[in-house]
Amino acid sequence: MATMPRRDFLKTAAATAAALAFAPRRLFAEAGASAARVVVAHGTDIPRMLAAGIAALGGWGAFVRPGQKATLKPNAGWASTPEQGANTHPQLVEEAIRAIRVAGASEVVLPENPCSPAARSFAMSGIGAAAKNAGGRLYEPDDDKDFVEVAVPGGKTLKQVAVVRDVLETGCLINVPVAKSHGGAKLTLGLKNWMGSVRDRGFWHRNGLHQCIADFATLVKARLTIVDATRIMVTNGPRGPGELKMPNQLVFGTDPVAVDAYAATLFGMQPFAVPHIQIAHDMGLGCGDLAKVDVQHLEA
Amino acid sequence: MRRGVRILAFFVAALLAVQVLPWRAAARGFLGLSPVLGLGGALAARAATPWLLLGLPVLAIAAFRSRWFCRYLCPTGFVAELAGRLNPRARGRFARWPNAGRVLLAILLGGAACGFPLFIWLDPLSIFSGFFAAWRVPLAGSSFALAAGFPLILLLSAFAPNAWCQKLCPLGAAQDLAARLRRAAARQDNAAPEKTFGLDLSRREFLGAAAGGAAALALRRTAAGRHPPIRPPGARPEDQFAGLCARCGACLRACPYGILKPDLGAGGVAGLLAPKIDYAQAHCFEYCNECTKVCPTGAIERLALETKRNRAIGLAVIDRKKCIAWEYGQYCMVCHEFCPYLAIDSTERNGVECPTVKPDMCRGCGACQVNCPALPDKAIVVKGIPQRAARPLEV
Repeated sequence: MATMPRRDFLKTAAATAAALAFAPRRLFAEAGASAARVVVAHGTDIPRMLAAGIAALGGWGAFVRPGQKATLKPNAGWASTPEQGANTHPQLVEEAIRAIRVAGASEVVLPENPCSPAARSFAMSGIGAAAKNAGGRLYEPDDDKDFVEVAVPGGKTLKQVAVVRDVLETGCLINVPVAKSHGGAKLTLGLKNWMGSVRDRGFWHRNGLHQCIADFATLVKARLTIVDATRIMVTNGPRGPGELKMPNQLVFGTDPVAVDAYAATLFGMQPFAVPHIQIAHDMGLGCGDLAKVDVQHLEA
Repeated sequence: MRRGVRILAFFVAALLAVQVLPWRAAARGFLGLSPVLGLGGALAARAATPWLLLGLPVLAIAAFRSRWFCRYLCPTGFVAELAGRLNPRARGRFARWPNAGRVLLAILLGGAACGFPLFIWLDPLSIFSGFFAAWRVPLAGSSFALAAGFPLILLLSAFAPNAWCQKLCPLGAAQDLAARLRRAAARQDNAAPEKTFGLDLSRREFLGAAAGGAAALALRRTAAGRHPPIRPPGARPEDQFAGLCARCGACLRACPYGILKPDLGAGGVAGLLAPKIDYAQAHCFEYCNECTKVCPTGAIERLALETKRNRAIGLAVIDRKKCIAWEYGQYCMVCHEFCPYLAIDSTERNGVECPTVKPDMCRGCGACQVNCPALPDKAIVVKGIPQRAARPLEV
């Protein structure tokens, strides 16, 4: 090894220290650390919208490192076609898997604890085929093998929960929900999508759905949320069939509360009219106050 | 050669009964080979299934070749015969038994004429199918009851060889009847005098048919008065269904979700071991009509998927005292979330959505009941109703 002049060594050390101090904040922006940022890609070409949104957030390299396992959580819970808007658009899922693999992920897994029978949900939603085409592994977690029982230290009501192992133990966690109305939760956006990764949803319903949704967000934090609002089911959700509106948008962000807050407005709702957005904001899990969120719109 | 055919027939029949082959309707074809099921069903339901086209030739051939189906194809008879060989000394022990099969067949046909084919479940193909169809997870106690017919025949055969095949089996009796009718027709052609032997049996059969008809009418009355359990989609009205169902188990084997169980009394004695729906584990899936594809008697009509989706087989009823939203004021609406037919409405109460059922939309599919998170009891439960068309979805 060549010797290094003291001055150079100090310079390098200082640069490294600076990088260590600032890089993580820039790369994986912590909620609340700085003004929350939401990127909204408008258009009808989903691959282009995805690429534009991710580019605005610094590219896939900001979210996934080579060799890491990546976990993607789509909403593939219903035996329903892509046109009906009950599930994440399969094209979004397919393109995201592909891009994450190109960025160097060692594998991409997509756990989904569905509401309809899994085989039919995965087939009808098109997400089964999407995952297969792009080389991801979509699966229904096995009640005995695939869940880990963990404590929720930050939870007020939800103190203990069985979560899919791949959601807890992964290099890179990305939430890819669809936006739609919801009978119990008012809306289902990003925060609510995690209910598809727990074993016992009934507990949440019995003990205060909105508080449990927020409590879960203290435990599971996606590095990135991409809300599919290409078409949104504004009535009869979450299952439908319901009335559709076509915002033609994908909503990106690292602050899960800010992303949901923006997506809520697509339904003509104040974000805080959705109780779990209010609770999550109050618990400091992100910023639901859109006046304090930097929303950037892109055409793609 | 004959043995080879029998062994082959046995294995093909077993495979069809277990429904491992990709075409499910083949199960119905196999059962359709029995004219007892096909004709008895068609007579009672006043509607023929296409599978009768398999059963009628079986009967026609039997008119010329005595009991050919027994000798070549019947899987139950094949195993019964093997069981009989275990006890060679008992051979012929029951040769002097009266031929109950003929009377049973007469009762069956008399009942069928009145819409309720009694003893149709004694058909050997149905009993064979029941044995193979019953073993599906999750097992219920009633599964064993459904499967019991076949071992009982084997037991009887070991004790009294040939007693089942020659003295009891209605399918055997049906073949005999075809042969007798042909001979009678031939005698008439030759203007030969009728033998008293034949007349004597005819009287017994005539009385059997009359008794079958009377019993059928009585049983239909009792079945009609009952609150029915939830039957598979396409099931005929309870007073016919209980009689038409051959207890072959084909429908519960066909159900991909395992929600069909043999009924142990909810439908009364007349409906014993007929299939009923149990929503303990799963609901009647909206994109599935598999159980309607396999019924050999027409007890369950074949329903196109769209017709099935619009068929109400039950009605969901909410118990507000148990409901998470109504009683405890929590955001829930899981019943609404899971309802495939938009049959749950919501009413706001203190800012929380509470569910109500739209009876004209509800199909009784059980999606709400299966997923209702209320403890210890479900707050929404499906009750059986006479099946009817529900209002189609409009979006």
